[in-house]
Amino acid sequence: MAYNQSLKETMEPIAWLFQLITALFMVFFLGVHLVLMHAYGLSNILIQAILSRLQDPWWKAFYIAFVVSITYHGLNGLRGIILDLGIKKVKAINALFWIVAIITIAYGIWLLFNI
Amino acid sequence: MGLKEAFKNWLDYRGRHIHGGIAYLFHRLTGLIILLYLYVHFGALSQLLNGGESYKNFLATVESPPFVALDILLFFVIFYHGANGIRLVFNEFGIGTKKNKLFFWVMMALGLIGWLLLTYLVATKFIGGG
Repeated sequence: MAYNQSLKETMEPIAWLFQLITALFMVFFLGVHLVLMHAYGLSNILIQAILSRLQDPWWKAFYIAFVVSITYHGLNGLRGIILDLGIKKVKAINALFWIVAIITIAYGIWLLFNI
Repeated sequence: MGLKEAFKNWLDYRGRHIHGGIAYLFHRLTGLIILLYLYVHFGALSQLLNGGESYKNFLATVESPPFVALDILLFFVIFYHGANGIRLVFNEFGIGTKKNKLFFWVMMALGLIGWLLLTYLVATKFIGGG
């Protein structure tokens, strides 16, 4: 019975490898993000603080990598869950995954350059 | 197999270990919640456009105690997913598979400590008027 077993059984090996890599990235990115945005009170989430961080190319790179990683990890996980339900339209699900992922990443990066 | 049967299978906890099927089930559920929140979060970030006037109002809303409480609930979901996820990555390299039940509870304890720490900081910095 494949249900509720590791999505490793469901995903292609390369997709699973990226799921693991982005998982490790997420521990770092989300860890930094949660502490930065929530452990210092309001000072780090005022618009001035956000704008000044985005002036820094390192922070910008951090957020771009964050958006790419979390979008891939989340949507690929959802794709795995859907495929694990035994749905036959694998190609359609995969195409939909890439379309939604690209739109999400593009919007996230666009936001970083437009606020 | 029909969708209905697939979902029933998915939720069937019988004969499953806590560190096996049940942990996976919660991993998926928490993953879905976090993914949903990602899109809510993108929506919130859109308030930063146009000079951020609407962001200031937005900030006033989300720093109110009910929203901070929701944040803390979300952290719980994130810490579970992260702590269990780290165990799964280790398992993938063959680490901890022999004592996986113990490993599961150790990660849960670490996750809980992390969550309590962040909750304390958030509660004192935001609700405490800091």
